[in-house]
Amino acid sequence: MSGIGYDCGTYNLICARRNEDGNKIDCVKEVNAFIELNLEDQNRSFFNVVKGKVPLIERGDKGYVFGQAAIDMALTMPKLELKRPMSDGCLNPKEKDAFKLLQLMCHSMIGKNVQDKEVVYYCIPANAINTETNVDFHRDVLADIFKSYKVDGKTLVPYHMNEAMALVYAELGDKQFTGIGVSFGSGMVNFCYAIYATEASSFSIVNSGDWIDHQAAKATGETPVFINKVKHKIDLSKQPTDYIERAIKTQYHLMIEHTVTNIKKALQTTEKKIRSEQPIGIIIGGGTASPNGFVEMFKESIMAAKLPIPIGEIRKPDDHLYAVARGLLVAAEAAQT
Amino acid sequence: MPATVQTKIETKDGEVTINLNLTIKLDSTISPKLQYNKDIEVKLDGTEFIRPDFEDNSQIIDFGKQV
Repeated sequence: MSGIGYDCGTYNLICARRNEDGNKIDCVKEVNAFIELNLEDQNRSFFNVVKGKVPLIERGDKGYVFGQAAIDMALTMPKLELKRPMSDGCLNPKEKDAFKLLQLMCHSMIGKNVQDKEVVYYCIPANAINTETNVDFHRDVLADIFKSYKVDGKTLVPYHMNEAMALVYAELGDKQFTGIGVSFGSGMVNFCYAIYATEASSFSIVNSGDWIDHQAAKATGETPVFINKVKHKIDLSKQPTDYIERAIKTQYHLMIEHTVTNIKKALQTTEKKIRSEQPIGIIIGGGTASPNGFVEMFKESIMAAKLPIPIGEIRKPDDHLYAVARGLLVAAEAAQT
Repeated sequence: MPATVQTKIETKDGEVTINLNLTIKLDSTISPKLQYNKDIEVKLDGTEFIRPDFEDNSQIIDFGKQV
């Protein structure tokens, strides 16, 4: 069975495909970032030394290092500017030069082993309710990126899907693809209520992982990069051990409250369409939902909000970081059968 | 395609000058490949919505870790 699920996120790029035996889904992951080095100065010797050890390319008098290696270098060499093609869940129109490098990153993660005209499903956010976003631009540029894949004469056929809907595809097949997906990414929180794999309500909020980093950094005087490192290790079910953990936990509380308030609003304003006798399950995904205790914090907030529909099980899949890509793969495979 | 045209006609010393200002609202559905005559000045405004042109790519590098 062929097909590719591609989660192009603000922080992570994740590509999901079925293995050759068809009994397992393999995911490839990298960080959606790069650094640019001017090779006309002393960077040339450094660049030549790391060749073959980290993902990089040379174009003219510039060298580019990609992914986690770029993050590591930017952390140890503050003069290097880390570039991220996306911000707040969408491609950043101000980073046009970065898009051709994103093209290379996306194609390289897919690799050469594809069938001609293989379907790739990629995710897009819903329109944000708290700021202006360029979702159409994001959708069209990503489509152009996948259409420009031409390796050994083979091409891809791209389709898009709402990111939170992908969670429903990944986890709620046994519920007739009916339920709620909430993806807590780095740039955005995405919500979708699906009935029989059809979108009944969706929205996004630009206040997620990056927002927590910046707000907690402001409150503590630390850098967002440092906060992000602490955030990856925090346990939200325990009492904070210092002021940094306290600041991060506070921001998590605020983000979840804000999200749940807007979920309630969305369900109330589309109430004509959204009626359910049966309890509706909620699937949580995304890297910002990673800390231990996150699901419990979210459950408490949902129960306190008294939503207009009965809520069933609230759960985070074991592979919650990859669940969006897995759902996109389900859609891609369904498109080719 | 949303477009507006402004014209300004000036006469001086028996010559007539027509200034034509054509504004095209660019959005995400419009490619940046604007065909124009070299004698016509084109100024792009609101370029944030111009989609880049991607050439076919066949370059693949070793990128991404199996998880």
